[in-house]
Amino acid sequence: MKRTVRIAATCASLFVPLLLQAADAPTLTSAKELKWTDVAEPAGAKQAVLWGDSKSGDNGVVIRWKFNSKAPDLVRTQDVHIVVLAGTFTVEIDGGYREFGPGGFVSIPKGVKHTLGCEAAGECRLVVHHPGAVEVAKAK
Amino acid sequence: MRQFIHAFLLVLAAALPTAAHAQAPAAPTKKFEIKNDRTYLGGQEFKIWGIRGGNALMSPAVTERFVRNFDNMAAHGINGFIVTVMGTNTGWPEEWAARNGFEADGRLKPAFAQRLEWLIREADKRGMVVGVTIFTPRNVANMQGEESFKRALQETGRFLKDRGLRNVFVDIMHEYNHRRVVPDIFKEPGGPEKKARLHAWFKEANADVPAGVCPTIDRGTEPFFPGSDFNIIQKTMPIPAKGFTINVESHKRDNYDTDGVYDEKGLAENYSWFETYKKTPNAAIFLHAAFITGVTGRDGSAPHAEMGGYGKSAEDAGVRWYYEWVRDNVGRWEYPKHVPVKAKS
Repeated sequence: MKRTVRIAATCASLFVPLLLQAADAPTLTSAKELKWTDVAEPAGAKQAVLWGDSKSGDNGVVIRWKFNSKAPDLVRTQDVHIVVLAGTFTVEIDGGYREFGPGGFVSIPKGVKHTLGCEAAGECRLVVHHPGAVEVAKAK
Repeated sequence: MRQFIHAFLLVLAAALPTAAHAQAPAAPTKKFEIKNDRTYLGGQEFKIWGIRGGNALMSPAVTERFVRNFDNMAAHGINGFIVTVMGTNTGWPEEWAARNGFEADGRLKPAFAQRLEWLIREADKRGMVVGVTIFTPRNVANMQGEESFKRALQETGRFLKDRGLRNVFVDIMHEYNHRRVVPDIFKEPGGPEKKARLHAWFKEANADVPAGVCPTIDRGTEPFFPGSDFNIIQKTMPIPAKGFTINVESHKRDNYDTDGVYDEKGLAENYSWFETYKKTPNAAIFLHAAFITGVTGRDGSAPHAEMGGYGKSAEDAGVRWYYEWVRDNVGRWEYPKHVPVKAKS
């Protein structure tokens, strides 16, 4: 039940910004129209902004990570919600390890140390949502 | 009367699940044997050049695609094929999508059994041997413990025996001690004893089919164990000095999201491995490729039963380079021997 509520809340938070935008103008973006930019880490990563700005508020991006990528020991100043679109996305928290395929959902509260990765099978594609401005840093 | 009909229907329904095992007797296929560190099919010594098709049993259409390509495989010298009853890594975009040929309690699903028999018989018509892999790392987690593993092994063994399917060998557990494996019986420590127990369960049901267990490379587990009928290795594991060794899974050099595309280094490595196995009489190798094993893949048409292109680019994706290497360096397969062909002009 708790998980259902969390997923519902996440879905709401994912789509409310879009609905709010819809009051002005609909956002209709096909995969081919996404504007990809390079990301510093992990090597070869790219992202395309769906809505918002990570420096100022609620934001969503699509991310592509190359297979065998890893981003170790991260902490965020904001909760993060992730939906896997393709590939095998890996999450390590407190010594626990899980793999998530397409349709998999991950929610990590702010401040929790986590390691994210993309397994060897192929490129990972993810929708990543932060419900507010965020800074991501290596855990000390 | 109504009660009688009801009871009759109940009895009929109870009998139906065993129908797959109760089919009419079938002609036995040629027998595969490993003797004196060499392989024999129908009593004829031969050298295996194989292809690994891990998800070839996933649906009737996919099995049909592979069966329809057996003639082309044989025309290029390929005379061995590996299938996986439990399914295997489906690659990209979803690597956990393998269809399991077993129910959770270990019963062999009749539809999978029928496809397995069809594929084995079609291979036999071309004088080909089939490697039957029983368990794989991901789907064993969905089974109900040791009793289900014993049942799966013994149902498969009995099915092969009862149906006269003898042109086969068995890899009981592919990638023993893989980091993904959950059930203890498929993990070290104690691997030799656990592998011997699995092997004994299979042999109780079918003593004639050679069986082994494939270790995971670099995971501290061996390609042989007490009672193993031959060695199984994968990827770049060294060929043991003693006994006959089957490399059931060459090191794939394409990736699941770019399946069938190779760089020059990857192709050179493959050719080097083929040369090694060509000059090693007590060993055989099965080509593993994302192009052949993956499900969906980059262009959405995997698993590919077809040889496709030369792998130079996405528009040329394929494993034709392997087919042609075997044809040109070993010969086309006309049971019971490879027939050399003239070198390409």
